[in-house]
Amino acid sequence: MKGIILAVLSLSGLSFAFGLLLAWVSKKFYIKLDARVAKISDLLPGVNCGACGLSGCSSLAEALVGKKADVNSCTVCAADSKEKIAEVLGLSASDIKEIKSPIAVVACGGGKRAKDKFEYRGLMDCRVAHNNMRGHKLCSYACLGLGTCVEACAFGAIVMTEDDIPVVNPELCVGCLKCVEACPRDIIYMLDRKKKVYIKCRSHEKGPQVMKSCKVGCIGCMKCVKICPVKAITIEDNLAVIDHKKCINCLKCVEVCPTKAIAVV
Amino acid sequence: MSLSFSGGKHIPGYKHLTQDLPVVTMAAPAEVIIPLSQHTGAVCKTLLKKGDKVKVGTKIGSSDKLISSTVHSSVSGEIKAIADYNHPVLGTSIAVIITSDGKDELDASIKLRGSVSPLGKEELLKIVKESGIVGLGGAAFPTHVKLTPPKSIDTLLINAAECEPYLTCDYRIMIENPNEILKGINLLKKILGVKNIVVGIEDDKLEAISVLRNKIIAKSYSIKVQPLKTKYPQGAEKQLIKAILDREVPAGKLPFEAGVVVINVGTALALYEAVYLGKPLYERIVTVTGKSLRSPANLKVRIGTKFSDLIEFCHGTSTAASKVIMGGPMMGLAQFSTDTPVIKGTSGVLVLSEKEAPDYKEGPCIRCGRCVDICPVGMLPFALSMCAESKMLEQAAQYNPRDCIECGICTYICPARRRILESIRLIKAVAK
Repeated sequence: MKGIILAVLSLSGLSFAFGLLLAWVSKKFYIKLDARVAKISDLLPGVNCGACGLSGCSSLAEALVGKKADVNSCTVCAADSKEKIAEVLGLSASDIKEIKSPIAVVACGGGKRAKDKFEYRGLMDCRVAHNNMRGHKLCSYACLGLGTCVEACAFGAIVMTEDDIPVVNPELCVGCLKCVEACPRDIIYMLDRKKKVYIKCRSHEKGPQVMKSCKVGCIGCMKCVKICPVKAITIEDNLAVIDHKKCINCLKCVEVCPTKAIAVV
Repeated sequence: MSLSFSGGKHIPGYKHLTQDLPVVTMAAPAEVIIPLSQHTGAVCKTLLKKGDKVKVGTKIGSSDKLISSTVHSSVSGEIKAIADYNHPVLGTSIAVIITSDGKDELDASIKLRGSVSPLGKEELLKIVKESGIVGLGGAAFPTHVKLTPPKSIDTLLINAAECEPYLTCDYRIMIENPNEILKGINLLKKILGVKNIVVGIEDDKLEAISVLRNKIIAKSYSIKVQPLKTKYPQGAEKQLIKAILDREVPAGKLPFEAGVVVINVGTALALYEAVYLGKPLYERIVTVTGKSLRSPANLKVRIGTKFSDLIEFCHGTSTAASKVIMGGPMMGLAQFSTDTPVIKGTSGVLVLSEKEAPDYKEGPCIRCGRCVDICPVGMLPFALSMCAESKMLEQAAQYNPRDCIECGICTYICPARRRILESIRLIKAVAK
């Protein structure tokens, strides 16, 4: 009995002493948290897409409070939550601008129309398929069509069409670059929202070789170069390249392209 | 006593198909396709153009990058084209296509070296590089780079385990050319300046062990022949070092970190031929086997011979082939065409029947733990495979995917036929 009393007393004594110590430490080393960070974190979309250039929504919230980021950096936020964020930060409504992020476009129109080199039976992920003999498509630039970009998109902006080609919905795309990082073939790139025209092919093969593997690739025929009124298109290494700074969205190149390798967003 | 490492398993070898068949020399084919990328490292550049005449052993490609090697013509004739062609590893690669004139004339640079003993280390290394010698086990790492380790090393291991099923090319050369191999090993000893040399052979190749031991005793060389337990992946570099020396090579590091250089037995023979006979690496022994094939064989073939020529030389297929693999069945690569050339790393061409290579359907993981028991590097393959399945690729980093040597035994043993190795490859590709 005596032993038990001793144990209970000594343990409660110890816990009381440690409790006092902890109480003192928490007072002494208290870090003052800005309540605004939590508020803004709640208002941000919380998908951690990285479009703002920071690692996630909570780091953007911290940056906003610390005045290291602009209130317009989040391209995903709805307009009303942006207003609420501005309110929390003490900014006026005039500080809010609607920023239009660039959108992702898929620079391949092949899909089912691009011929297969062999039948792929491995793991259904483009990154694995690409590492196996550089993909199962005859064209070594072609979209493999296994949907890795669709999985990567947190906003459901990419869908696979019946032709096994991913298509980006401009309404939903926020320009976070997640699909660009996921694509092992490097065929998704960003396009300014004001621009309408892009080349839907990445093949640097010569014309006859392109025709052999796919009917919708750029064959470097120069027709678009000749028709462009502002000389925005050049052929570089057998592939048409549009200088988007010069492009005036006249869509003449789209009409003239014999393989329909120039597309409109 | 046979040494080994932990994990791994004895798997059916199917070596009886070819192990007693002496190496047959196949005549030079009418056309060879020599890819300019046959090794780990930089792609060679060629100075030749269409229409140029070449002879057997003429240098057709080289590179000034550190990790690269040289490429030689394997027939005498004329360059038909320099163009993209099927490649057994890369899918497509730039290659020199040569039409043979049937004369098989040797290049003037190929001549017997009268005496080898005055050659110093630097001269030998130069011969290794100029002869285009790369590791013949399969990965084709340039040998001259391996022979100049940045750290001091104390042991040379000769890898003669040949743990991949079906393959018997290393076994045959050990029985047919033991003297040449031992001379090649002595050249390696001279270049590396090591005293401790061990040849590791799996204990199902008793004849090779006794042949090599007898020759070593007869010549009183100081080379040890170490029998190893017959199990896969005994011939994997790190597992071989663990088995023989009980040393571990850190993940992502090369064997010299543990003070070892590992050279394949076929490479030792190629080194002998390059130094004593002045012969660059333009031919190699390839095991052409599989139950679909009418007459499997060990063939000495020119680099650049098409797989279809090899299959034809072995009298074609008796049953419909379900899969053609370059290399062994465990780590080899399934081919999409037989119109693909033999490269320096081609140790075997397997023509497998439907029964040998069935198409399995993947099932869910039943957590039986067999892959954990068998993994030679002590990983948790099932956990990685489930991470990949549920697309938790970043979280998979906690299971150290970079340790994986991609031997494929987890996928072999899995009762649910899960594509574990492919999942690990996906995780590795994302982690890069």
